[in-house]
Amino acid sequence: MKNNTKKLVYISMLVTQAMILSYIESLLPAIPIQGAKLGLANIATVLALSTLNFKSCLLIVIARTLLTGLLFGNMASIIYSMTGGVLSLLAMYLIIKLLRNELSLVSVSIVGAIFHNLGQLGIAILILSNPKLAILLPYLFIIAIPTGLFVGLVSNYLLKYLSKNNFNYKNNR
Amino acid sequence: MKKKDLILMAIVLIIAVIGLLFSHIYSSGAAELKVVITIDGEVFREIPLTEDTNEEIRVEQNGDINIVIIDSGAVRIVEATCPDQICVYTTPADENGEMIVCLPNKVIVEVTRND
Repeated sequence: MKNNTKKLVYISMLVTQAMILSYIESLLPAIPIQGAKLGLANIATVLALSTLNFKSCLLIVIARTLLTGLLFGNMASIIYSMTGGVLSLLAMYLIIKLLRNELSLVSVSIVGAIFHNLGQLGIAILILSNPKLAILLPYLFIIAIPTGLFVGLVSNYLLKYLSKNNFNYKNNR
Repeated sequence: MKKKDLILMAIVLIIAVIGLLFSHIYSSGAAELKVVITIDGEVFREIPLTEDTNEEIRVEQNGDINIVIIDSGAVRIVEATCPDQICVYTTPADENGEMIVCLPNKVIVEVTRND
């Protein structure tokens, strides 16, 4: 019981953290490439993947995209960020599952960034019915390297701090 | 950071460069250019893009407005009613294949060859 409450608080905190990070990011100057952004909210997803089971991670991603969209965006932005978020979560989950010992969180977040872009661009191509949008992909791949590096390093640092305080709900749920 | 992280970054970079090469081949070759503005997949206007084109276009649907300006051989969006303003921050487009997208308003401003 006590553990469940702790876990619930931890999940809510990750959702809140992701929302605040999205907001802070919207205040920063935009990168002058279509669809490119820092992806600070991904820090929360990477942290969640490292400390929680998959179901809780999915819950966090859906909750944060829905809430951020309702507060700062519109219906369209919810569709875009949710597709990107869920796809990137799946990709990062698989990478962690299959290659955790080979790759660090830096690679995990780079892969996450790339699949986030793939998801968003895919849905944009569908909604705007313009396959030429795919021309933006190479630029987004390149941008994913520095942004993924940043997000991965920050998550690594935070994770070290969390594991010192025994924040790990993967096995005791 | 591990050694294999660097390998992954290199692979990503190589894929990106190959993609860039392809898009460059696709867009190379001097030809007359035009600006195509579409709203939600439907063509709203086509304007030839030359050094002397000088036009301000008001793209309006359902109360959403994007102001598009064409001058000195390039096209840009100077004003938009969308919440994120990404289209306004995007650098002007002046080459074949380049585009400026406003996702919230479903507006695409695209530079293509005139053939």
